Amino acid sequence: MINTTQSASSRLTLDRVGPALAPDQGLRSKPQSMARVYIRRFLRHRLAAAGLAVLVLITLMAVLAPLITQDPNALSASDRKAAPSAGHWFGTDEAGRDILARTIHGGRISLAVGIAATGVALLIGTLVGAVAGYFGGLVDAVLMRVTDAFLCFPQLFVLIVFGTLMRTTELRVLQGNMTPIAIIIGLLSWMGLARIVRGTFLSLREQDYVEAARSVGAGNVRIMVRHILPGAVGPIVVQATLLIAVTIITESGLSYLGFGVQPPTSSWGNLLEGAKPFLQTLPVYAIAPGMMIFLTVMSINFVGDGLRDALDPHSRH
Amino acid sequence: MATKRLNRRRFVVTSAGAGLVAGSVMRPQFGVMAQEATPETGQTYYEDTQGPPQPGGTLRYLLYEDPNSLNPIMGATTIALQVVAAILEGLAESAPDGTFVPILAAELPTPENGGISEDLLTVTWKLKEGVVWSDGTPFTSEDVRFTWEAARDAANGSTLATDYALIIGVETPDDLTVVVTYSDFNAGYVDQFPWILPKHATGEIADMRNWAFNRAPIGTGPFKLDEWSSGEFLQLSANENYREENKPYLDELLFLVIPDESVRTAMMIEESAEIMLWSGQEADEQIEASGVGAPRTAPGVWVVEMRFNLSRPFDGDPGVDPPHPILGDIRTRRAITHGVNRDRINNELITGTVYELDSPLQVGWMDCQVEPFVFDPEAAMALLEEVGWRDEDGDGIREAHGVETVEDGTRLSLMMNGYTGFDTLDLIELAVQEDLMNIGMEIQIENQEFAVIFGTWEDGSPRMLGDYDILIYDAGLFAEPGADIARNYGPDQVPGPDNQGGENFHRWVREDVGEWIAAANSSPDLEVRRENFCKVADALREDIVSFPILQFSEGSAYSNKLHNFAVSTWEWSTWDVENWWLEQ
Amino acid sequence: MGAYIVRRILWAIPLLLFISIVVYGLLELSPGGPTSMYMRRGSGISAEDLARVEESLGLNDPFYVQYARWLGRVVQGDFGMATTSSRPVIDEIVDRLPNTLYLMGAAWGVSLLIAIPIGILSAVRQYSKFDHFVTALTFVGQSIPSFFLGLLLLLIFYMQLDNPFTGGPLLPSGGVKTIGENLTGFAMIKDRVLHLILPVTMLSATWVAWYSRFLRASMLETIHLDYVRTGRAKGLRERIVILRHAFRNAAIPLVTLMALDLPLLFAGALFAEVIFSWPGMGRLFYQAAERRDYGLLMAIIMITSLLIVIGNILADVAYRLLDPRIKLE
Repeated sequence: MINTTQSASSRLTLDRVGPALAPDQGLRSKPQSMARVYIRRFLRHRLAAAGLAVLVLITLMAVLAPLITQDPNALSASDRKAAPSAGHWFGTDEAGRDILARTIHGGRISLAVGIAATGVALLIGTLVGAVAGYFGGLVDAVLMRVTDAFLCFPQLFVLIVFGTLMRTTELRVLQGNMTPIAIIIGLLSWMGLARIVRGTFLSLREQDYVEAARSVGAGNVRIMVRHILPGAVGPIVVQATLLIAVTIITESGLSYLGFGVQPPTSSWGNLLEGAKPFLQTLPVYAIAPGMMIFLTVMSINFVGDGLRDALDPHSRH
Repeated sequence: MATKRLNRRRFVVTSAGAGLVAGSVMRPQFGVMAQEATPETGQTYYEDTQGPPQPGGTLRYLLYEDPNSLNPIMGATTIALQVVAAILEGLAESAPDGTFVPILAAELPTPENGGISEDLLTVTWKLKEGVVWSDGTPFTSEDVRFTWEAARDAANGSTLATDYALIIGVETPDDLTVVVTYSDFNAGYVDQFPWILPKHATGEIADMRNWAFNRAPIGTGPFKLDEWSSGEFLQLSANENYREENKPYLDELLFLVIPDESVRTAMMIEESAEIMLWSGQEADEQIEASGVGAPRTAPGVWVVEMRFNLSRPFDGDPGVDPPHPILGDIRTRRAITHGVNRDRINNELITGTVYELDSPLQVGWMDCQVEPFVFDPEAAMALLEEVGWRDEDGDGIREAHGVETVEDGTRLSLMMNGYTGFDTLDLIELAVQEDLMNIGMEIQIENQEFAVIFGTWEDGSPRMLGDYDILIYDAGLFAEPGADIARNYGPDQVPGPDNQGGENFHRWVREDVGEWIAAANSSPDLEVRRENFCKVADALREDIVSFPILQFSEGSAYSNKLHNFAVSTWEWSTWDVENWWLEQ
Repeated sequence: MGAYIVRRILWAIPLLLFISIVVYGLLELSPGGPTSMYMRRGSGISAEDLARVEESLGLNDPFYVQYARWLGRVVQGDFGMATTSSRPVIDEIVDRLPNTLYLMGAAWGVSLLIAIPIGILSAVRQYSKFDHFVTALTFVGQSIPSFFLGLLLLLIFYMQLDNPFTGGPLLPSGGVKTIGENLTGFAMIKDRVLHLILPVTMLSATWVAWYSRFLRASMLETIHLDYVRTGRAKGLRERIVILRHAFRNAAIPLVTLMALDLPLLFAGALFAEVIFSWPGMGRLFYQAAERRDYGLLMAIIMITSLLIVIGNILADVAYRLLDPRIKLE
């Protein structure tokens, strides 16, 4: 939402090319061989492969942070604002904390928030989209109106208001202070997914095999989960991947403004915020978290692009 | 400790160039008495007296956000008051040394000049002759009376009503005389009228929130407001009707609103501005290194303390009993004070000027000296062992083994709440956490929104409800501290459903403390007041109710081209703006 | 068509009500409130006085009472007083909105001027070196967080590089114009343009990426459409085919996209305004949120929502009018 046009453009693209996004029927019939085809297609996309490699590296660093870095909160009065050196690759901040360690640890939070927010969006979006697409009619009309309503929220503004609320109420104690941020962002990011899932469900529910399942008395939930959902996995995966990039940028932006993750818990966004006074004297302090956001988001975009090509060759240009 | 104690008294600004002198803070003349200065309390502030002044020029002053209102009795923020102080004046103000000087008053009311009645309940102010507002209208006693009427009226937006609660009447026998009648002795009577509003240029009091004055004030001060472009700048020019000949020296005062700290710093270095309000540690270092300016400071009123909750938290009871399961034992609190290395925080981690102190009442004219806290991790650990906190599972954190108030196996872990958005506080918290980890105590830091920490009873603020272990934040006592001390430490001031305004968050109840506070607040004799407040300070130290870590200095970054100004602990930065002059 | 538009407008009313209730509810739920700014360091205001002010502002009334009172006033066009500035909310917005529109308009114009040729060229020369280069650049533009780019620009063009003639910074750090100097004529225009460069660059980087990528995709679609092929077969010059037929059709969804994106552009502008001291509405909102100015927050959110709704309606109408493939309901 901060990387502004993503949601709107995907909205529009999908409205127009919706049917083209319908999943490959082959997925269900020959899962093994199709998976291999997808992987081959994905890896042929060189940028996507490179993006995946970078992403794996960043994720590994984040996961293994406590093992591979110094203590990000260890203060060192004698080592304040040190230039990059062998001991501190990126130097140290105003309290002698290792900037590399802080950046990597910040990544744990930023990635976790991005993934968790996407998870929330995935849950809501899939549910709303599936119900709307499967039942159609009035249910569809109502749910799509709600989706439209959410699309009309000035998202960043509402997030800021939400942020002030979340950092002031009991919700804050759920876990550290990142869970609420993830939930907020997720709550405002599910609409694109809902539209895609709805489109897929609309087109698949009339298919013969769905009719067949219905005729043997399968319940609605069973049909939705067992028979239609697998067919929608491709577009959902693509969209969800790209959404992680958007939510990471959203979290960083919100934290940069001071309404997201609060220090001393560090995320890339609030590290960047904290680095502002040092922009001139210690540029690496700001550049490290900024570049990490940039690299992560670009890698995810590459991977998303590759996934789209692999899972959804019709939409390719 | 001894050297640090000297530090606190030392001249804190290394001044370069001629004409810079260190003023020394004498005891402010508060109350009726207090003529004698005590030389040993020589706290210092920055003062530049270079002359002769070169008149003219525009001073550019950097703010980080817009003022909210230029009406000082309607909750103007501290940012706003920096602007207001150039436009409006009061009857009297504090000089940097803490003494009071008359501004719009001809003299300060004292028993000697008949300004104060024998029963201490009637104060008579004589006003200066010939003072006019910037629009040419004469300033009279009616304006003072009007100010009181507006300021006491909380229903229409005044945020200072409490300060005027003791006044039962203001009379104006003639244009230059104001007689104020109190229902009870007000120890802060000299500071009663820090601002005077013009009756003719405001409006109906009932309509105060809509006064044009709030955005375009008329004052008696050295400058008048020409234009305020929201989010951009406030442009002030010299008030040609100002009462002092040839002053102000500056032609224009331009307040620029620049939200980004790095930009403000860079503007100072590029000489695109002359003052950066409350420049942080990093900005100070950069500006000083560039040679165009430097931080200029005075001792601040802000003291950072770790505040202990003596009562059990999260038991649904804001009251005093039962005691806190961990902090209820004074040995554990003492262990904390032995475990934290304040010297490292104050001298190594924080590079700006701060002062170490052992009592929140060791400030201003009270300057209560108490037994110093000592950093001694060995003693801290011994105390914890004695209580029954030992680390037997080897995870570095002690558990209870025979502690009476908690179950065996309970980890020695405490929550510490501060507020968000203040980097220096974050740093102090981390240092405390690290130090206490070394004696086997876990501190979980959780910073909350300002509005939560300092929220009201109805907001469910943790300190009001008593739902916290340790609070860490900075608070200050102003020149007249009586009311705040009573609220903070009075035995009847524990917040609860029946006393939602109480601020005894520690839940520290001692009847003798209540008596001392009452004795101090009902006497005009500064010695009596001081003696009683220092008894409170000793009791605070004895019971280890809080652990003071440092006292901030107050100040901003100033260009080397600005002269003839003083940084005051007690007043807003522009308090003496009429004297300022710029090298052309 | 008329009926459709009326229906959309009628639907917008409950939508805006819904948004206002949600946001008002959020504000109401959070502790503190418009008076919390008084609690900042050093204001020296007592808890009793705060409580009295809250009472007099009606902040202690139940949520629905406050909301109803707010709605009643707004319906009459009165957004109340901004507690952060002691003046009517609407004055505050009227002061700031033009600055935001000015910045967004400039950034938008620049973005289109760059994105359109790039998008067309890379579609026409699909898979050429140029196309690959542009694709790579658009990935960068899409992925770089705008606030990080803003800081980098500030670092390079204000803090590091100097103007070789004056020795001062190469570009101004922010603001709409140089304050305190009454420039006129060419000097004024130059001053304004210099102040625009950094924020516009920051905003355009992302927008150029999105618009050119989008335009490339829709150009590729139209290039292969029948009538474009027909035009080509009829022997029309390539340039005319591309511009007259293909681009005109590809531009329709782009226009729609931009209408839909209008509100998101406001969000982007918020960062530019905060970093470059731009006295616009985004920064006003940021400050209002910091200080809990409910009246101002609500007004800005409602005005932005209204703009979004209008943008949506216009986009739909334009789409339906212009695209022959969609039949009118």
